[in-house]
Amino acid sequence: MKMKRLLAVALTATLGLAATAPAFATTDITLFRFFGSCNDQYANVTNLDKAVGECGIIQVLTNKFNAEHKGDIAVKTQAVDWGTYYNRLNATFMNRNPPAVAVMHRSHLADYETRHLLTPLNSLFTKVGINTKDFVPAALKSVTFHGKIYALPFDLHAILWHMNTGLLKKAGLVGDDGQPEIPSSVDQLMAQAKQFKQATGKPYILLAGSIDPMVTRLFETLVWQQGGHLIDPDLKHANLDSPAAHKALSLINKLIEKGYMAAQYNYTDAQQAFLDGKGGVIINGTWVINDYDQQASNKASALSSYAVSTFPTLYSKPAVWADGHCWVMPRGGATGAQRDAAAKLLKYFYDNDLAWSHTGHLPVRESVLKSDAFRNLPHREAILSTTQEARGIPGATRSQAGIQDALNQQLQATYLTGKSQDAALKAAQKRVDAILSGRH
Amino acid sequence: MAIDKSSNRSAHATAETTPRRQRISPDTVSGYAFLAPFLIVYAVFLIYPLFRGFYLSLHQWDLLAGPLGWVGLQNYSDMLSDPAFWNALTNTFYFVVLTVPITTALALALALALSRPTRTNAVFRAIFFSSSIVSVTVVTLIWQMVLSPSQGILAQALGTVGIPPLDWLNDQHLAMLALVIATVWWSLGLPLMLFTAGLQQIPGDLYEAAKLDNASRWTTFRYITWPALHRTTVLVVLIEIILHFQVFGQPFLMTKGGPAGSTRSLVQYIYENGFRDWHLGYASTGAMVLFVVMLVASLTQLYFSRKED
Amino acid sequence: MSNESTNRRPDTGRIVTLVVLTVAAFLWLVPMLWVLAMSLKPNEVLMHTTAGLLPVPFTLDNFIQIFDTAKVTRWFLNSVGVAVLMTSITLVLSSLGGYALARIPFRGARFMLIFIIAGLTVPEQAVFIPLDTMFASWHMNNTIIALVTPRLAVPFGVFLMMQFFKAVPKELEEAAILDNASRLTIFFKVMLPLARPALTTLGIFTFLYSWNDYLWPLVSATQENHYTITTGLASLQGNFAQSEGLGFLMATAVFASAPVLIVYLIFQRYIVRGIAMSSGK
Repeated sequence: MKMKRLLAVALTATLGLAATAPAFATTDITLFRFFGSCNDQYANVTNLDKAVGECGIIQVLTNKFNAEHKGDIAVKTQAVDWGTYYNRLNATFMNRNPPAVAVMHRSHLADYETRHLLTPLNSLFTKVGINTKDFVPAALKSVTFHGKIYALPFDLHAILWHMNTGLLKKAGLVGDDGQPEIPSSVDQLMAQAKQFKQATGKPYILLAGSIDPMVTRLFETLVWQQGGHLIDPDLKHANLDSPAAHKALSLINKLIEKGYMAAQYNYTDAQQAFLDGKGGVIINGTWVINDYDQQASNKASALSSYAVSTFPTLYSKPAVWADGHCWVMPRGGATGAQRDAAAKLLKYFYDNDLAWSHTGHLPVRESVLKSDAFRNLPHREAILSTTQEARGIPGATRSQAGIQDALNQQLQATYLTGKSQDAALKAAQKRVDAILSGRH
Repeated sequence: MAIDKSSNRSAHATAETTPRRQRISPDTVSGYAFLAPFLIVYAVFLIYPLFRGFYLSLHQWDLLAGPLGWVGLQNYSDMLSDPAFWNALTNTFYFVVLTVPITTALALALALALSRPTRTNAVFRAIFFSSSIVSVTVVTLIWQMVLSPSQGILAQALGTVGIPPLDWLNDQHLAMLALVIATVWWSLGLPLMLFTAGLQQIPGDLYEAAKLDNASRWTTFRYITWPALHRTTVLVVLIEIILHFQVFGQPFLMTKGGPAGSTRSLVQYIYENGFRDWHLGYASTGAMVLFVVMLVASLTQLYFSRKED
Repeated sequence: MSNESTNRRPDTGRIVTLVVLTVAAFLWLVPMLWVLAMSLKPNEVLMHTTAGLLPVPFTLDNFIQIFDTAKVTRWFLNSVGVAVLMTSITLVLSSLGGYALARIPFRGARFMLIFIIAGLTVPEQAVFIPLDTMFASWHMNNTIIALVTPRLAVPFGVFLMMQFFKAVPKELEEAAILDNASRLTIFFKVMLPLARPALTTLGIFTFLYSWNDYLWPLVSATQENHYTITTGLASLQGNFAQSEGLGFLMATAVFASAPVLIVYLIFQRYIVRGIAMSSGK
């Protein structure tokens, strides 16, 4: 008995020592993110060429950072599914153990900044050598509040016009130069859609419009292209019962009524429908370029050839819905040595903006945007103007997730339940006004 | 908590047998002693949170910034004029009104069909119960797949007889129905077991007598089985109402509350108000409403069942 | 009701019922069989077609992948821990409390009964917000205690055990009382052994309930290594593009359900008996 206990004590002591010894030198920091969980699949992979998709690239970047800082810094990833990401991030604040570094959408920054939950990064940026002048001005502006920078911009993502050129060709919508025709006005869009529908019997456009917020993104784009706005500059009221909003929504409904746009899909099904050649164009984000491209390399697939372009300007002003990923350091997350370690990680992400753009997202650094390495990636030249046209709801607006959901629900109701456009926009106006009032 | 303290005090009192406290019987001491462990947990983790939830609902209370001020009943009046609330409440009612009768009727029918204590019937019962043991995430995964128009086994099966696939989860008329189907499949087990147990307790001589009277099956059911199952039925319906009013996982995981908000439930509304939109006070108001609505529903059900007695 | 066995003449009604039941039972099982089949097929095949109830071509890769994926096993063990702890504590609290309410004539018993029964009307989903802020202020979210304790407060078990103990004939206890046995002795020596069927029923339901709980673990356990298998699976579904790892996803579903299925199969014959004995005639 005694012997056993002695042994146990000795054992724990040795193990304890062994465990604590390296901890002296290594600083652990937590990285809180979505993008999926693939640390098993990419265990110990540090070669970026082997990484595929958002999850692969971010995981390999993290692995590589850890390998390069072995014995110095260890990044522990907390991968959260994206549907509950912000709820869980909020929980870390509630439990007062926020992570050292977390990913965030630009559109969510205001919620955290106005509650003083984020660390200003200006001095840390200077310290580790992040040159803020290299950021695209709009990107830098989106992370700046009251003159201070609260996040490291990482990418820009927007909706794009993804085309099945094989099908478009069948409908006579590919020119002699091999370039697909892209509409530049509403009339042109209607004419092309009609032509496509007659030739193929299929809808011209596919949209994940039953559950996911894709229709909201389209709607916002169409409003902005008319020079309209959704939220008043004072951020106190919505402007959804406007002529521009009515015009945008009636275009969407007209496309659906005429069978030119199929919107009754959830995200996965819309994606599948496009891959199966059930429509000429899909309105989807930057993040799928590589998937579609890969699919198109398989000549037997229904998506035998693929092209993509910046979202067409249908009205007077070029504009497209966009958002961006950025990295923040939550207040109270990193302390002491962890702050420097976290700053180094941010610098590493900054340095690897190009690697991240392999996902299809657009880089936010001028130097990367101009680089041949980026421009030689497939299709990137065709979507470059997106960086100039990107728009979003004013960055300082709080509760953008709730606003988007309210809008989404009302917009969908017009074509899913036959709710009148007028009633839908009025209801959306009322609901968003209530959200903006800050009470609920 | 208070109760626990008093039981401790009385325990002391009897130990010292002070004359003033002699009226406390040993049964009272042991009664509270036996009840104490549960009472503590009950008071701290159910009763206190209920009152605290009410307290929160009287405030504008931010998820992370904390209390922003007392607003009295403002949250309640806001909620009554909030279309999103009425939408969630109506959806939840609709879900309950569809799910509870279907589940109850199906469970009763199966329990009757399987009432004879044979081995085969036990196997059947085990099969119909087995779907109740999987978790909501598995149920939703299964039914998302089964109902998928492109990959689903239902579409495949119907396709072989030439019926075009239905897009259950993306159609606002079908989505709720799809959730109801998945839920009935998932939650049939408990009512089935309750009815089975209820049937077993009906004295056999009642049936003997009915047989001697040459009563038809229907008459036997109408005048013997159904009245004897009355208590069980009330219990089943009550449990079902309480369970399904709190529906969350099925719509949250299968449709995210869509399409066009047609499946958003009250609990999802509460969850999103609190954890997505940061308004804990307002979310707590929703929780209080949920509590009251369920209380009223249960009491109504009990009232009518008593009246029938 | 078994008296009908005297009736030897073939009953067409009974045969029709049997056929209908068999078809219904098969349809009832199809979704699960289909998932099982998919979990045993290679992902590449599933991308092409998901049809078929037989696992052809057959592979165990998806299950092997689970064991390579440390977190799934971890979530599984978390769920086991929570379920076992919750079940055993619930059994203790409920049988003690139920016995007191059923059999001990103590002062204020009636009030206590009403006080506790009233709790049956409090939906758990109505208190998850204050519970979350409570555990947050104690820094106890993301612990097993946070996952277990709120569910111990549900009065259903006490109610069930009370109903059961009420139905136990008084004579059994009276003999012991005459022997001057203490309440504790009576409880452990006389009542508890009798309560086995009721405890089994309560145990099964608590276990299943714990295993399948979703909202509270979603809110309370926010760190990946504290997920339960239920919330973990939801996060996997959210993280996976379905066409990529369908087989793997299905395998995790099977893996998550297998233990409860086993628990259920072992104990299922007690369920009806337990309910019957607790429903207090």
